[in-house]
Amino acid sequence: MAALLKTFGKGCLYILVLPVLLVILAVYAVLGVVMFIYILIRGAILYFTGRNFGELAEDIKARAILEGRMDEKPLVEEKVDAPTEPQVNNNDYASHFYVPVDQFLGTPKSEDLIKEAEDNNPNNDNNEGGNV
Amino acid sequence: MIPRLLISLSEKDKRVILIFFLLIIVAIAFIAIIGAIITRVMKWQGKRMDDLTHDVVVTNVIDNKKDFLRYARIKNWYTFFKQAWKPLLILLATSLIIIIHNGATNNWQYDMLDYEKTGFNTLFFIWDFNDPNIYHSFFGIKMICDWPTIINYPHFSLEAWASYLFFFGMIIGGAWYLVALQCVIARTIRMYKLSYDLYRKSLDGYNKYQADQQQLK
Repeated sequence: MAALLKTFGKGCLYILVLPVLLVILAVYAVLGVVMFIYILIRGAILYFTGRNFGELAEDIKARAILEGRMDEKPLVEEKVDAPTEPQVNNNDYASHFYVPVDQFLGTPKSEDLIKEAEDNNPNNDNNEGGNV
Repeated sequence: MIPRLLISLSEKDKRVILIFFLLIIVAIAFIAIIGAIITRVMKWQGKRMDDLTHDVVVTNVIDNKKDFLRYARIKNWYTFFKQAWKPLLILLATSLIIIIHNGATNNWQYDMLDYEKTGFNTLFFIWDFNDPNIYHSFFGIKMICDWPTIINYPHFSLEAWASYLFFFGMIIGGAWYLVALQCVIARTIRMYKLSYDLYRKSLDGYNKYQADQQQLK
């Protein structure tokens, strides 16, 4: 019932305001034709004098700023300092293929050799753990 | 002593009054629904203003209300120009066709509303609303009480080709132009709303003593 009364009230409001809305529409219709002719003439003058029409100085500035910001963004992400100890991350794709050296070779290497291997390749770039 | 006015209503009169009020309520509800649809469509059309002014606002090229309104107004009318040139061209073309037709046939009395030979009303049913027999006086008000006679059935007339072109061109161009006008009005409303929301200064939640203490920290 409340919704019906609300709809009825809005309808009455629209009927009361309708003449004002029609006047606004008529004013905009005339203004639209005037603005159309003005922009047409101005655009033609700008076009034949070789100047750009439609793009304002603010648009050029904004585009320059946006393009400048996109240029500052690095293409390659900076490398983070590698950790000294091998990291085992069970949620990582690579961790599925990482096998500790001593387990892969079956025989434990001496601690010095293990430390040397880790020092030379701290990120395990060559996937020395082997592929499963 | 105030004279009493006695009004006696027959059953038929009561039914007519009831149907009359029901029709009024239905008409008002229908207008409300149409108004709600137009409001929703205009809100959607106004969102285009966000697209037009987004870059200059986020890059801080425009940082005050006055410049924003000046910039948005120009972009609004440029967008209207891009939308309205086609319907205005159609309206201009149909007007030129009628003027050239009347000039070529040297017949400036060409009646475009005629329903017999030369007008676009040849395509519609025309009823005789001037027949006095179909009207009945009801409480002093003349109201239509009978179905009027048909004086024209839809038919195609070759002489009315210019009227047909003019009529359909005006309908299409006029409706298209009205849509473009609706868009520009919607964007104007959105422009003023944005200028208020974006550049409004508010001290809600600001406490000077807390701000000073945070500065000291």
